[in-house]
Amino acid sequence: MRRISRPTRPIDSLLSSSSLSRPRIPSSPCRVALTPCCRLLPTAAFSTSPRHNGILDGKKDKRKDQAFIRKWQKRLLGDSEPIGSRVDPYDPSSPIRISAEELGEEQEVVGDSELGEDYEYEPASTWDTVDSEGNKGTLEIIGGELWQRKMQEWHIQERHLNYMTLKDEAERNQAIREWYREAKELKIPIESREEARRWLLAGIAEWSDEDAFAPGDKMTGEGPLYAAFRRAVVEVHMLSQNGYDPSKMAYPSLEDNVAAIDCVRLENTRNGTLRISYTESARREILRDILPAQEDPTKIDWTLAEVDSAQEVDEVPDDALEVVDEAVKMESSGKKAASAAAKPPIKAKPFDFMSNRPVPRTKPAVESPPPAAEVMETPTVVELEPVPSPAAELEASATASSEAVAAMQTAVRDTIERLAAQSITVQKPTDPEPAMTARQERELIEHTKLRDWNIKFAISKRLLQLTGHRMSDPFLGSSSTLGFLFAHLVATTSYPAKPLHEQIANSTPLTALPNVTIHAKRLTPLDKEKPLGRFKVIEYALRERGLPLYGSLDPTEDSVVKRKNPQSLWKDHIGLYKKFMKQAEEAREQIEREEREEEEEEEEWLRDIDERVEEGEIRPGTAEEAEAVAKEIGVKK
Amino acid sequence: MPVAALRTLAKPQNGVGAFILQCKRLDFHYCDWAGSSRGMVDFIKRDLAKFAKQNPQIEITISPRPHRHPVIKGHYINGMDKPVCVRNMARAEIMEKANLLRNASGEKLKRVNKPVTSLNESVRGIWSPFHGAKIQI
Repeated sequence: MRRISRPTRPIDSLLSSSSLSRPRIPSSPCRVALTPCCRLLPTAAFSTSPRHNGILDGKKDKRKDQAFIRKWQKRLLGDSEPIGSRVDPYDPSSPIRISAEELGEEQEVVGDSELGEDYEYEPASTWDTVDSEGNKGTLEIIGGELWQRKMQEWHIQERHLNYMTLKDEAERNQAIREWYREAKELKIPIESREEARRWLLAGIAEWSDEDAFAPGDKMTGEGPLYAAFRRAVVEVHMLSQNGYDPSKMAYPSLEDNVAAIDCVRLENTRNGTLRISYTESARREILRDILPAQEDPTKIDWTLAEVDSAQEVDEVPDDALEVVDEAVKMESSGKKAASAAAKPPIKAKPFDFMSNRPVPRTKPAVESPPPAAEVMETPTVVELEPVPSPAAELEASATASSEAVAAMQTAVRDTIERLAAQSITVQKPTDPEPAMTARQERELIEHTKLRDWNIKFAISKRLLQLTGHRMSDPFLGSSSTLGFLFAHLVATTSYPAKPLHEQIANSTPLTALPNVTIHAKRLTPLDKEKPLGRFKVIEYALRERGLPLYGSLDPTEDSVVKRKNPQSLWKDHIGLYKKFMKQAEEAREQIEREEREEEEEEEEWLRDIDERVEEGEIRPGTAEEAEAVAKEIGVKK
Repeated sequence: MPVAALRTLAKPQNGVGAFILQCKRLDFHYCDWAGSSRGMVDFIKRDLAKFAKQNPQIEITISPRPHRHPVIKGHYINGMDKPVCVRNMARAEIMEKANLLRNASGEKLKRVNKPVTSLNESVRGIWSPFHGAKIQI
């Protein structure tokens, strides 16, 4: 094939390769004259034709040359086969014979193995992975040395689990020392005893349930569950109202402070928000338990932190109302009378443009004197509950009270305006409030709307800690009210549900009827034949022929194990099979025994004969005699 | 000669003298796990007792059929049985199906083209081309 030359490039010299390489019929004598001398000139810097590379010497150069060509062809044209590549492979100059290295192609370099080049596989002689001295044994472990070491550590930590039960300081130090020594023996890199202690505790944390977030035993029963639910709700709302993020709380204490939480009253307001009323001491007690131990409750900043706008939408319509109602109610119930002074001062809230609360257009007559007078009186009332706190606290609360009074006056005015527009029955101060049962309370708060995701999450987190039950995300998402949330909690505890036959087994209507039969298991064809009486006949026939009653013809031990309910299907058959196998084995043993006996007899007889031969009583017979005897007996040959 | 009476036997008809319900047994199968059995489970818990009491002549069995759709199977005196799948049906719909099976006989479902089904012969006789008005042969 004729090689098609490259078009000339502007950078090329005037006397281009194309004109030279192309075999042209010289048209004019002058041209002919020109060409021979021009041929000698080295031109066409970018030409890859062999002529202009100036190398046409030995074999080696040819190959190099081909390699160079091929390399550039590949770069420019891609990996497609160039024209003229299908050449004779036996030709030493063919491009096929050029190795990849010479072409300059990338070559895969196999990585060095971890074992090294000198590694030779040796089969292990023992089962030991670790020697008695702690050195590596003969049997290799898959997973590597790191895993092996980790496993050793875990085993040691497991052995020292009782560390947490040691009450004596000395005993605990002794345990740490032992652990440190063991770690050193196993060459686990632990530098100090303090590090050893940390390792040990880390291991114990993995194993023990004491520090687990959720308790090991999950709570059951609607009563305890409701108590836990109530507690979670109270704590979460109390924290959020006091400006703490309830979902980020660690809730370290799991001890029941039932008394304080019992004092908290939960109610539902008309627009579906939760109203919590509590005394100051109860609140302090609860917060002291929830908040981290380092934080002294007396030093807590009682001013409300900036509440989220989302929360504010829920709570703003009711806050003022809440305060007034609380004041009224606290006044009425002698036990729970608390000074408004001790309540945290309410920030003057700016007008919320985004909220939907109704703003009364006309200002009705303000009936301030009587309620205001009551409210005015409360700051002077001393706290009934004894407060074991320093005087500074009282001073602080006193100063706060004056601010609180002013704020409360404005709040009262607002609420009375609203109250005038609506019809609300204010509780008579003389009536004592009856104690609410759990059921009543539950009914009350059932319809409390849960719109804030943060609070929902915080409640579910606290519930996990108290009950051990996880609320799944779809349940959390679909619960729009407290009632739903509690129902889902109860549903979680009752999973997995009882099968239907268990549920209706005790129900009298169905079980009492004579024409109704309830089966606990799936009915099989045999279950139809058994009551008819046909099964007896079938069973007899099968046993007669040695066939299996249930299942396939070849019941090996393995197939029995693989079946889902071997007991139910193979109950009869296993016994029969074992019996047959036993019989077969016995028969086999019998045969073997008989054979052995025969052999022994024969051997004895032969020995006997040998003895007699030795003694000379008998002499070995000749072949002819043997033949004669055989004929006599009639043995065929 | 007087007209001899036809010798006939009394033809028994179910319902003329006594009535025997053709359905002798109803099997209710459900699944504890599958969602298509929700209606059936509801029906068994709430309506079946009443149905069984109203039909003391029918033998009723309740048994699980795991990982299958719920089925009501009716067994009849003529030996036939009719299974009806009640997957994803509500309690009331299942009650309808149960009643349907209870009222059925074991016969195969046939389309009836004629307005009257009777054992009696026709009163006016079967038509023939020779016996009619204005026929002249």
